[in-house]
Amino acid sequence: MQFFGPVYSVPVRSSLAWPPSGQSAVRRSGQVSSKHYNVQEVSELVGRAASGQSDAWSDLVDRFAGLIWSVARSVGLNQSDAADVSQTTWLRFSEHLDDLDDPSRTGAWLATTARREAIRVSRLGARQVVVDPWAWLDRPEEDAPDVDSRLLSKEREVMVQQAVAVLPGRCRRLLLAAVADPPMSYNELSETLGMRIGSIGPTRARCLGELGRIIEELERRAGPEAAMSRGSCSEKRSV
Amino acid sequence: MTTGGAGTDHLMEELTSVFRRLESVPTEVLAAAREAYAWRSVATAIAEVEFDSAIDNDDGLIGVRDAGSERRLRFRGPGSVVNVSVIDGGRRLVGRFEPAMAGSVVLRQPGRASIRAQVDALGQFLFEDLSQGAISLRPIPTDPALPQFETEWVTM
Repeated sequence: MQFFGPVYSVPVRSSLAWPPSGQSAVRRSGQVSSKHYNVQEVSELVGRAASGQSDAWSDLVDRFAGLIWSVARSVGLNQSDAADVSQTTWLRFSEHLDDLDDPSRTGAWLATTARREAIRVSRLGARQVVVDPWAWLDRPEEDAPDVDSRLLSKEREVMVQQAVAVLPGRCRRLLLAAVADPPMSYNELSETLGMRIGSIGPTRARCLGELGRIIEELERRAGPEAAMSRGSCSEKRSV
Repeated sequence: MTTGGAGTDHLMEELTSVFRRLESVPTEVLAAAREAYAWRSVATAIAEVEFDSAIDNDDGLIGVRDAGSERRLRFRGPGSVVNVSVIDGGRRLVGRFEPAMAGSVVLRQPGRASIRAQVDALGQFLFEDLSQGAISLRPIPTDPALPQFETEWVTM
C-alpha cells in the first residue's frame, strides 16, 4: 500500500549537482537545506539502489511506475505492449543507476526513455493489430478542442505525475490520499497519514506550494524535450 | 502560512483531475518493474543501441511493418559491434559480431530461461522461437582477454 511506504530521513545537500559519474555511493554531508529536498530524496533513493539496496528500488518503482505506464499508454500502446515498454524502461534504468548524469532528473529520464521506447514499439507494425496508436488524436473531447492542445495536455499530465513522484514522501502520500476517489474524510486522512486533523489543511497547502514549484522547475528544464516529443508525434501522424 | 490561495486551489483541481483519470498500473507490470532490479549487472559494460530501424529509419516505410519485414539494430560495445536483424515478426534474431568473435552468446529475457547460441566462424549467430518482451545479449568470448559486455535492453 503506497501510503505506508518507507519515509527516509536523511541529511540532504542544498546543491542539485550529483557527484560525477563513477561514484555510486551517496554523498552525505551535514549541510541540511529545506530547498530542493524533494529531488534530493529521489537522488538518495537512486544512490541507495545503485549501491545494492533493493528497498530503495522498490520505493522508486512505487513513485515512478504510474508515470512510465501512462507515458506508454498515452503513446497509444495496448496494455500488453505498454507492459513490455515498462519492463524495458525499468531494466534500462537498473543498468544506468550508476551513471545517471543527474539523478535529480530521474523522472525526466524515465519519462523520456519510456516515450522513446513506446514510439519504437508503436512502429513495429506487426504487433499493433488492434489499436490505432493515434486514434485518441481524432477522438473529439470537449476540453481539448484541437490536436495541439491535446498533446499539450498530455505533456502537462505527465509533468504533474513527474512532480508528484519526486515530492517528499509525506507530501506525496498526503496529496495522493487527498485526490482519492471516493474522497477521504479529514478523519480518514488523519488516520491514514498519522497526522493531526488540524495540520492537514496547512500541510496540504504547503505541499501544493512545493508541487507548484517543482512543476515550474520541470517546465523550465524540459522545454527542448517537450518540443522534441511534439516533433515525434507529428512525424508519426503524417505516416 | 496561507491555506489555499487561488493558485493552490487550481493546482488541487488539476491534480484531482489528472490522478482520477489515471489508469492503475497492472500488478504484473509492477511486479516486473520490481524484478528488473535482479537483472542488474554490476561492473559490466553496456553496448548501447547505436541504430534501430524502428526509430532511425528514413526510408519512409516506418509503421508498415508486417511478419515479412525486418528490424535492424546495431549495438556498439567495447571493441566490438553487434549487428542484429529481427525477422519473422520478431520470432527470429540473426546477429553478427564485427570483428568476428569466437565463442557463444546468451540471450536474456526476464520471465524466461536464458538461451545460448554458438557463434560461427564468421561471427554470426541465430536465435529462434523468440517471444515479445525485453531482451539483452551477452557475448561469451572464448578468449577471456576480450572485454565483457551486455547489450542495452530492447523490446522485441
